[in-house]
Amino acid sequence: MDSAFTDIAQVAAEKEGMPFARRVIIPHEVQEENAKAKAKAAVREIIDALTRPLAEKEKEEGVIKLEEHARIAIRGTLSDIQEFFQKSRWTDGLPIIPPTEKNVREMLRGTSHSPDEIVVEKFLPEPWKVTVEKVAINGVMAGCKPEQMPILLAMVEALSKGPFGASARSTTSFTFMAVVNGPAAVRAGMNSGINALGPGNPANASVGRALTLFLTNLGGSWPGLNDTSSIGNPTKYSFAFAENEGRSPWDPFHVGQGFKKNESTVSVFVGGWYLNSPGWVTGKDVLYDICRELKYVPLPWGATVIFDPTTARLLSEAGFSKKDIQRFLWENTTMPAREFRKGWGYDVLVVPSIKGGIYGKKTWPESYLTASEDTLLKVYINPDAINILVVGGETYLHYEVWKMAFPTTVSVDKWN
Amino acid sequence: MKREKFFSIFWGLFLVTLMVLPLRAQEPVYEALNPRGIPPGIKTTPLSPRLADLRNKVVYNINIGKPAADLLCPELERALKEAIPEVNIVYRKKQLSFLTDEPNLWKEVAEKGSAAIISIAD
Repeated sequence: MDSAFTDIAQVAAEKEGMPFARRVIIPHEVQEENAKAKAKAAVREIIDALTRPLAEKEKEEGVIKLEEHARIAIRGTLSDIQEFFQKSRWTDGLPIIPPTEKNVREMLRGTSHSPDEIVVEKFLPEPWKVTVEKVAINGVMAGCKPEQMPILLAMVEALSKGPFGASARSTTSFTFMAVVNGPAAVRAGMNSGINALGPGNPANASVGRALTLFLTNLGGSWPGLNDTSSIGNPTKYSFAFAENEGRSPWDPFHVGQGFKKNESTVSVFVGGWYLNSPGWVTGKDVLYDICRELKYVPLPWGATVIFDPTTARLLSEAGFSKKDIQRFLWENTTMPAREFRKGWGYDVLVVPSIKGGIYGKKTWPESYLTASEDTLLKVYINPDAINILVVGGETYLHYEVWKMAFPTTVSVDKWN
Repeated sequence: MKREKFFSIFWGLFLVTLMVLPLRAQEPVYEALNPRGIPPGIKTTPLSPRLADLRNKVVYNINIGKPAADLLCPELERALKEAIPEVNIVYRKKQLSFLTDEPNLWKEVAEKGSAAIISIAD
């Protein structure tokens, strides 16, 4: 095993009930010029792992508790609590609001659901059980307010329903984006206007931060330990905002996901990279620009284009509905098969997803595997793989293309 | 004289302690709740008994589909053969990807193999 996976393998082995599974670690990274030497250096240890008689602990059968789970984590001063939480890896590195009984009780006022109610039986990556109270505790730590509590509960539900488990710990530095639609966004005080994706708004900042704490504390994904993101991603700190429904010429995002306009939802996306944002062009020109950028989204299972309301309105006035734009972008984002096949992850992920489906999603047609090198292929699976959002403060003819896919939308209202 | 000096130092320290303690006690103490999800009890599976040696045994060499395992697995096979020429090695790469489970592969290993090496390399 490559040493990059040492910690994550131990966690996985424990989860599968084989905490003492034998492993031989090969120093990262294996390349053509060193593979032979690394294999030779490891072979004695491999033979030993296959032939050395089992120790008593390796023969044990039964049920283990991975840790004692006390409801009260620590009793101490505010600085004791900060230090304890930091040392326990229960934070994102920033100071937290201590989740005292009083603070958590206050947060629980934001929902009618009982503190003991189970939100998710198995949250990923670890199969840990999550109750309403656990969500409130992490919400308090992130700085959230009771009016944001239904959004937090919905976010946990969405994270558990989407194909997100493996991404949380990927060496590729994936991240998650939460988009809130409907009246709940207003009630929660979320920003959909100027700098909605940036700092400044307490609701956006704390709701996004809570998502990160959920992955850490409810999903057991510790940055730097078993979250093995090689470079990391700044949006992992906090990435939540509302759609600017009031200034959008089109139906809000959640309507396209099958919800009513007056319903409140949260949509969680996975991905992570922001590609480009030129301005000053409108109509079809802006769409052709976007096609150029969409081409180079790695693993093009999906992407998200975020339009400033001004850009969206100009497109609408030029006659484009949201569906028209999705279709235009899908039809015009093409590349020769030879180039498509050179894309990152083609052999490892794209081909398998054509052959058998990954994440249970329908992907590109099988003809993509046999098309001649010069055949122009549509990069995206279908028009719906290109998500459209309208966000921003109308200070610039702006758009952003994000590698953000697989939106999973759930109702916030049910968590009121 | 020495005795008097000792007692004056002792009483001095005692008074300082009395003055400092209330300051420390004034700092409020809180109980913070545990933010972590509740882990289930996990059923453990014992490891399979080990082989006395690998000669004339079938050892599966499995590539789960992480890219660098394509380089590592053939070299492992060569190195193992060099160390134990009598070993029989069966190479298998997961048909889809490292993201998908392939129960048929594990069934084959259980039925036909004596041991397995599962390679994960990026």
